[in-house]
Amino acid sequence: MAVERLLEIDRLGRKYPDVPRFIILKLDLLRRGARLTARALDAVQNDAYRFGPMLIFFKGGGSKKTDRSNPGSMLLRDGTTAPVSFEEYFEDPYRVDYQGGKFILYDGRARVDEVDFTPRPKYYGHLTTSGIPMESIASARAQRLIICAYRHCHLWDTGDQCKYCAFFTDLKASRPAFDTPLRRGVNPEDIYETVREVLKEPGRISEIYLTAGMDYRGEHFFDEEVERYIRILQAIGRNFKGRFSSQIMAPAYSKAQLTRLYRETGLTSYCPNIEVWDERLFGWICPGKNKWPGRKEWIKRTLDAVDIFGKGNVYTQVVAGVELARPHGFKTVDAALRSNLEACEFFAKRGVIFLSTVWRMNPASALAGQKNPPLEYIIRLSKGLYDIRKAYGLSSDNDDYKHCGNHADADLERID
Amino acid sequence: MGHDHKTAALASGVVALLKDRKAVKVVGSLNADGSPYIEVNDALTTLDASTLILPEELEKSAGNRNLVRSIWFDKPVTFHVGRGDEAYYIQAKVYRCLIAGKLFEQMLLRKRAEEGADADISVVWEFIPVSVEEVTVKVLRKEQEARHPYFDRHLDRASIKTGSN
Repeated sequence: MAVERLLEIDRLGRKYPDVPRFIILKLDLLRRGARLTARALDAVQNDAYRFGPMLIFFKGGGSKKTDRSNPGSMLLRDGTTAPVSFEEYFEDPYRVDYQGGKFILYDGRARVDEVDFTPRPKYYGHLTTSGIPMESIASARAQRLIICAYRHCHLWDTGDQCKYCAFFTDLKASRPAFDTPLRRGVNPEDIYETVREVLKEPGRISEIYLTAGMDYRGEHFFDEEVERYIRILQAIGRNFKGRFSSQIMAPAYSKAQLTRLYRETGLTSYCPNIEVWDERLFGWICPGKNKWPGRKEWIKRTLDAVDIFGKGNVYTQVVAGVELARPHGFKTVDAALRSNLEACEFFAKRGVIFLSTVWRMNPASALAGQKNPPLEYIIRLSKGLYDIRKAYGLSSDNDDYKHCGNHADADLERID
Repeated sequence: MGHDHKTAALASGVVALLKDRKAVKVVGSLNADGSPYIEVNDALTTLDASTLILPEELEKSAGNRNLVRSIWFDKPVTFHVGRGDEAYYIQAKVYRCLIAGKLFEQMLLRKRAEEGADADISVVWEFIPVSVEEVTVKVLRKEQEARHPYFDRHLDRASIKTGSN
């Protein structure tokens, strides 16, 4: 089985010669996940690799504290980041073993390649003045600091969460993982101190990224959330002399809200994710976003943001594969591909970077139990999105291979 | 996509030149259209006398993009290192690209120690040498003249023409 699969990767590599095998492997890793052997797990229990509990992505509705730590995102030899969560449930994962001082990736019995993991940042293990573990404030990828500004999505309050989503479903279960209980909100001063500590490690971070669950509360939708982001970004900004490379992944804010965010903080990039382009499927898969503020308004606000942040500094993403979900999704990959490429063209014409990330089935999500998107589909999609953006002169600087790692289509820009 | 290439040993002379910051170091790669691209990069070095290390300053430089292409599509990379009369030609395969970690930090700190706190690097490349050839002209001349003793030597040279010292 494993040999057949490797041949499939090889076959697809030959069929799509412009798509490097590293990128095809990454896409397959994101689809299928990976497990560490006991030897590999032993080899990451040290200060070079130990990442500890992650606070965003969870497995089947819960997590528990153990005396073992997971490593950070996987790094392929070409520097490609593959943000595989080793805790998540996958049906047929790759396997990582540790042999001769190196981590080796296997598909079944077949050796695929040597891999490595994102090094543990030096701020891990430090506490803020108020006693909060800094790694509970921010996690790190190879060059990106990820800050979860608010650990609750209000779409779950009314059952309007996105159907593929399992964010924030196990906040309660995660609490034992830290000595200090996690809170929904994060104190901006703790964030300021964490960033200050992060910057003591030479060359470790070149972008700060903020995300959170959706909070639509306020006089106008999202007013409270915008105020929160402004406070946090201003606190972070005390570490810098001016604007600093940064992105928020957030809902579609009004032009007035975006203007404040841009003028009152050092923010450089904004990413309101459309998640699924097709209007009918958007209503089914993202019922909350379809209410707050609605699909047409979401798109309008995304485009408006270009006036404030500039061409190429506004992003939106789809969860690639979810548009094929049963029972209402597209029946063929060609139809799904047409829809996503149409969306990319629509946004690219207007200066917005449209990216894809691979749908990973989470057992805690409403779409649990469905099939992963076919590998060939996401290869075609990645290449198609890359080609369109390139034609419009767009470069995904904030979401490239070293700052995010979720987007194989952005990784392809490395040779441009 | 594995990297099980034949590894060539780096002789002590090559290692010394790679570690010599005053040596001339040239990196040769291939552009997208297959044409050669060369650049001088004196940051090329070795730490273990086995692999070659190249800190790259700019993500979007032609050389860096070519190295990405090399690891993606298995294209060769070549180096020329030399100082004074001594020179070596190295063919190599890209082993890996580092974007964080101990070696990355070590190379960044080295650059900042030399150029100040605002100096920066984008990535660090590691290469496995697959062949090393000495290209010191005196050595090559000796070899050529041993194989072709009367070939391509101007007859007015001092060592050939009578009446010269």
